[in-house]
Amino acid sequence: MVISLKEKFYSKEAVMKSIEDFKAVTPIKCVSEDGSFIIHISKVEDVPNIEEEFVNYVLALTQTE
Amino acid sequence: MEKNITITGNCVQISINPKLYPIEVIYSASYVFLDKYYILLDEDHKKNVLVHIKPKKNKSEISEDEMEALAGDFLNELINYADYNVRAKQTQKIREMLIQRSIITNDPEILKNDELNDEEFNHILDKLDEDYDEFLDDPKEIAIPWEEKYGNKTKDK
Repeated sequence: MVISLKEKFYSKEAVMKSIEDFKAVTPIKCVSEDGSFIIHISKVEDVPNIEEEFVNYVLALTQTE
Repeated sequence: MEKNITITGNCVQISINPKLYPIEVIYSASYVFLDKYYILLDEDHKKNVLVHIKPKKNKSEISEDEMEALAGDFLNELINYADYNVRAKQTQKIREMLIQRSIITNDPEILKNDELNDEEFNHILDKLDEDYDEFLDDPKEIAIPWEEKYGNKTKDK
């Protein structure tokens, strides 16, 4: 699955920290392209909405920075 | 339905003008919804902020009316945090003064530090001295004990 997050709304530090935390659960990769973070995240059986959980996690970290 | 609210399936999309609500306010409002909803922030061609809200529950459990109510709740939360931000800016100076004053009251030696010894701090210290002098003044002689003031006179009944 691919998620696109605008760099304008999500901080780089929050994205990096989220990747660090999620990579223990599933393979995850991030590239920066046209002002967006493009995140490739693999499905996990136990967590059906892992991409949305990831986005929520990044938003929470961005807000609390 | 409001023109800035779109409901598609189990997702509510709200378009927000960033001139009305700064991004910090949108973050704060979104944060409130994170435990029950999935939130995604995006941008449209008019540079408005698009907030996608998707319930964590299954679609069958949520009616369209509930989705509209959800969008309304989000907009209310935006106003709540916008107001909070405005008030926080208005009262920033007084909050700083209160904290500085409480620190100085407990430890006046802190003013010996060059970084803190500015005009504002001196003003606060002067004000504290004035307050202390006022405390020592006793024009109505309240601080004088009863016995000292009236002796051992007792009122005969």
